[in-house]
Amino acid sequence: MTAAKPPQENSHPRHDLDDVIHAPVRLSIMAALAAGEQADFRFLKETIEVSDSLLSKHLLALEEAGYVNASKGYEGKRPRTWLSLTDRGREAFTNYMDVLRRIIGNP
Amino acid sequence: MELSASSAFDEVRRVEEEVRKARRHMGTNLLITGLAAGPFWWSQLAAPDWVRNAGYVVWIVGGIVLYAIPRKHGLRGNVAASWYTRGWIAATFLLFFVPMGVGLGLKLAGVESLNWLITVLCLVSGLPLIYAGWRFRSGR
Repeated sequence: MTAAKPPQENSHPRHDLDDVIHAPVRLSIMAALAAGEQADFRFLKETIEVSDSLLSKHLLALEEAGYVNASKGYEGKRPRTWLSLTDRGREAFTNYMDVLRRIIGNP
Repeated sequence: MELSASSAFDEVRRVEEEVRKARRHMGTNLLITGLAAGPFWWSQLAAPDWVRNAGYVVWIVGGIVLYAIPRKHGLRGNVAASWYTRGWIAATFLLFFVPMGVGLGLKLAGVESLNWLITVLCLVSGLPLIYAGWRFRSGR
């Protein structure tokens, strides 16, 4: 008689989803930066349709996770904040998308 | 807010499309500028005075319409910060001040016809911007 196989814990791919990315605003930020390489704060705000404060809050979370890099500069006299993915962030987003594809069956 | 896998996927696709749209818009502007550079150089180097003056006006108005008004497009695409800023300074210099300077110089020097030089300048002046526009539009 063979012993009953214990149920495998956390086998569903959803457990592999990165919690830092898997939140509505942070996901949109990551997707925009992954597609465009660099975007400014204003572009992100208008594309994602969120307030300055909410965007700042989520960008801070992504920066603390080491996924996003922010650099400040000027365009003429206007201050601009440019955001881009770090290598770690790009890798995390690629993994996240792979997990999503596994969950929904590779569309 | 709970985010399902399919809604997450849809949001990624939506944002990617928005970014692509912005890139295409910037790419188109660069292409238009690049294609207009040749005629502008020609207007500055070889055309009658009224065409030269009209060239200034069209160039300035075109610059405002294409670049100053649509400020919402903050996307920089594949280029690095220093490259982008220096690129625009170089483009403004090459596409605006150099044709005026060369045109004035030829006039002062009394050179009436340097057709081969003018043709070459007209043909090559817009190439960098055409290349940049193609890169933006093709997502490279």
